[in-house]
Amino acid sequence: MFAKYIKLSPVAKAIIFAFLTFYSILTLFPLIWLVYNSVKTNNDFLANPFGLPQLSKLQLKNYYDAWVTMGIQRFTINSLIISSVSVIFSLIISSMAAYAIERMIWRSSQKVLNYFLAGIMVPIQIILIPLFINFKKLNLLDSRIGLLIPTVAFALPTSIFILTGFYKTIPHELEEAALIDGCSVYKIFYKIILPLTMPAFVTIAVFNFLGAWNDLLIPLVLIQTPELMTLPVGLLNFRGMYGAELTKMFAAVVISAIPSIIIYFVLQDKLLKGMIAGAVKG
Amino acid sequence: MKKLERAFGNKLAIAIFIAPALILFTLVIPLPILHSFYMSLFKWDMLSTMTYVGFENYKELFSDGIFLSSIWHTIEITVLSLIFQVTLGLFLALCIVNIIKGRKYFQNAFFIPNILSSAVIGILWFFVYNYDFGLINSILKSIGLDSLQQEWLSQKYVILALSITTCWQWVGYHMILYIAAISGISQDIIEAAIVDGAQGLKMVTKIIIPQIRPVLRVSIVLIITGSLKYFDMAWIMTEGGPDFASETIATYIYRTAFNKLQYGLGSAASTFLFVVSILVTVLINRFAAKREEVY
Repeated sequence: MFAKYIKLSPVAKAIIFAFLTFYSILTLFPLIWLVYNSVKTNNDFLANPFGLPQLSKLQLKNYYDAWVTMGIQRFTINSLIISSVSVIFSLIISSMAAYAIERMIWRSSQKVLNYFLAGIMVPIQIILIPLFINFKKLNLLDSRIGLLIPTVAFALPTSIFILTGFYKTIPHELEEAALIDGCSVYKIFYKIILPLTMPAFVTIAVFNFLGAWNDLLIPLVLIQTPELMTLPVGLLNFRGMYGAELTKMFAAVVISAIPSIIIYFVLQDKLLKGMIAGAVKG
Repeated sequence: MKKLERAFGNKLAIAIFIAPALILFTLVIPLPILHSFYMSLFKWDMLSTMTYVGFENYKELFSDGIFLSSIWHTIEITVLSLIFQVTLGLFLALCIVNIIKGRKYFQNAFFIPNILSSAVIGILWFFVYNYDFGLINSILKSIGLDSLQQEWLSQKYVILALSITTCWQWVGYHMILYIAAISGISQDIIEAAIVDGAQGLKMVTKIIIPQIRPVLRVSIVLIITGSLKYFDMAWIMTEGGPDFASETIATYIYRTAFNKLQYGLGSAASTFLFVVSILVTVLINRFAAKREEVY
């Protein structure tokens, strides 16, 4: 790659390396600080917030309390349900739309694509008030379905963008051959196109899953009962209720961060691909 | 091939494929935007009946000092985010493409904050900035710089503090975009530049930056549109405070509608934000497109 062409002196290389090392420690330290304080007692933390915990006094109970007593367990399950179900729906709906736009023959296909893509620029705050009011009328506030609808809708523009790009690369001969063999368009989509779409699906799924998992604003507005709260809203709610039990709060924050970190390390190539593709459309 | 055209031009099939996305999208994004504009012409708290007031809400909006200051805070956050994230992101990207060892570690270290939810980040940094037991003040104390301890989320520093947190969250993302762009520069161009004697800073300003201009533009658009809807950090860490010192347009909309139940006024602010977002996007694209023609 790049480093092959630019010959830097060893000194310059060492400086760059030292800077990057220093800056990476600076970046990671808040997270490390969070983790080691999550196993202290509240008093130990207040007495010395910077110091490492004493091994003899490790408070693993903080994690139990956060997970069971404070209810992080329930918020995690809620988040898991909303994120997975919304991913499934967004994959189905966006792949159908992308197929119609990219592979089928009709005059307004590009206009419809642009219509979807314009949605990327819409700040979500703008639609929250009408959504809240109409969902209240329709009895969709405080319900999983109510939360799923906007979550899926906001995942559509990027998903459709990535998928139309992907469908461009599939050779037409496959579909032609299937057609001659007597397949209908529906069958071609289901039997030939969907299996080929799997690599793109993984990318979009990771991308949309993390988006739904991390979203604060939609569930903040649409969910009020603790039973249905997702992790981000639950955590915020928590800070009000257990504000004094700082180290338990730290444990709760660590637990909430773990799933995203695992997903990142397992699927980072797919995730980065989605992010780069999602950004480059501009 | 007639059969092909008939099968792939089948209107019913097209409608079946496109309808779910089109209906859902239209119901959740474009229609509510229009609805929001409609509601901005009324006074309504959901309990009483809606009263038509024309553009009264907009007048009220622009005579509300808190809203005007929220516009200013949004601009401040935008400018600080641009400065921090673009320069630092570019600098980190340039450093990383020049090393081979440890590359993966550095990329991950800088990118990790971006995958965490803003609730996690907001609460973490709320503690980092805390006066009594926060990370920053306790570090300052332990190295004997007690006098530099601050109330970081005070009126004076809150916008800077929020922008730093946002930089921590996003700089890795922009760095990844830049690394991808720099790695995509054709080898011929770089070799030719080296033959012509381009080195160091000259290489960066004359070759790399012009070559990655499209990605820089994307990243600038993302930072600006992201800052326009700046909500999560401000709401989690300060709820727009202290004394509205970190109120942004987005927190103003949220507070007005969902805390004060002034749906008409909140909708007017939403409509304003929508118009500004569109204008900004169009302006940047036009400006950036012109610049590209010149070069």
